[in-house]
Amino acid sequence: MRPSPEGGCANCVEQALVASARAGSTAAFSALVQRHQQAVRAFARRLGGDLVEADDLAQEAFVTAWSHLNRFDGRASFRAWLCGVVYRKALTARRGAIRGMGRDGAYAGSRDWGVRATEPAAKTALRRAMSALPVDQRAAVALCLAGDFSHAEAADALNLPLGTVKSHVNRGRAKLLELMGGADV
Amino acid sequence: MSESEPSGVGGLDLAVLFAEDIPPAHDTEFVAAVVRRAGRQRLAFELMWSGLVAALSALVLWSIGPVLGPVIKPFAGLAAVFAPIGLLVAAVLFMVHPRTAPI
Repeated sequence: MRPSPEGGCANCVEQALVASARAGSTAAFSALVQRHQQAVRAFARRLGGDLVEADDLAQEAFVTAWSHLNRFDGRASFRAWLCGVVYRKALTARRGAIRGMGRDGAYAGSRDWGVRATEPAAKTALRRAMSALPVDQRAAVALCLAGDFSHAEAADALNLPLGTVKSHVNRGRAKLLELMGGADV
Repeated sequence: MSESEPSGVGGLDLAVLFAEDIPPAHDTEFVAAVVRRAGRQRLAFELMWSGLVAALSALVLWSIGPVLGPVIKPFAGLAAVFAPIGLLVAAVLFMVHPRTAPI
């Protein structure tokens, strides 16, 4: 899963959707959520916490993104910007432990969240190893190793220098290797 | 946008393990929940803002009331006409404004 820069036309559609959502269109905002929910939720899940918390974090990030769309300057991809919002929300939540205040009860109650009870041992080991990483390292690993972000895109999302992201990814991989055992492949 | 990262660690392919975390590409339930949440937050903000404006307007009217009283008294009967018109205009604006229009 390598980075796939959006093609010209897809980018145009996205820019049009961002402009409409910025003007207040709920339909355009919904379309943007639909386009990016997979990447944003996957990133939130890899940052830690349970599935309910991860989806809650992703929802909060989308809502915040909508009200702060004027801050999206288009230099980074919209996906990277959204993941940056998720990352900053996660950092704030760690400090304040205020998660769940605006949780959508109807949504949380309607889903089957029991997936992790039956996860394989390797997955549990990976989750433990990931939670042992510092949060910025975990975020870089989640974007570049587990996700399909390039180093540059991850640097945009996390607002970190490119070299720092590369270092985080390398050290994160080494730490995962150490914690999970075995040789690098 | 091009540096690639090997995802293998310790004989395990991280991409495969992490793939279990990937939600479905289309999840209308999640999108609906986000829109509901955004709508609630926006409504709360609008109510707070409207309340603030109403309170400030009341304060201004209260402070200049004694001066305006004699001037507007002859037009008091027009309130019955303009109040429904004002409500109608507000309702139309609410329906057509992109922030509040039905999807």
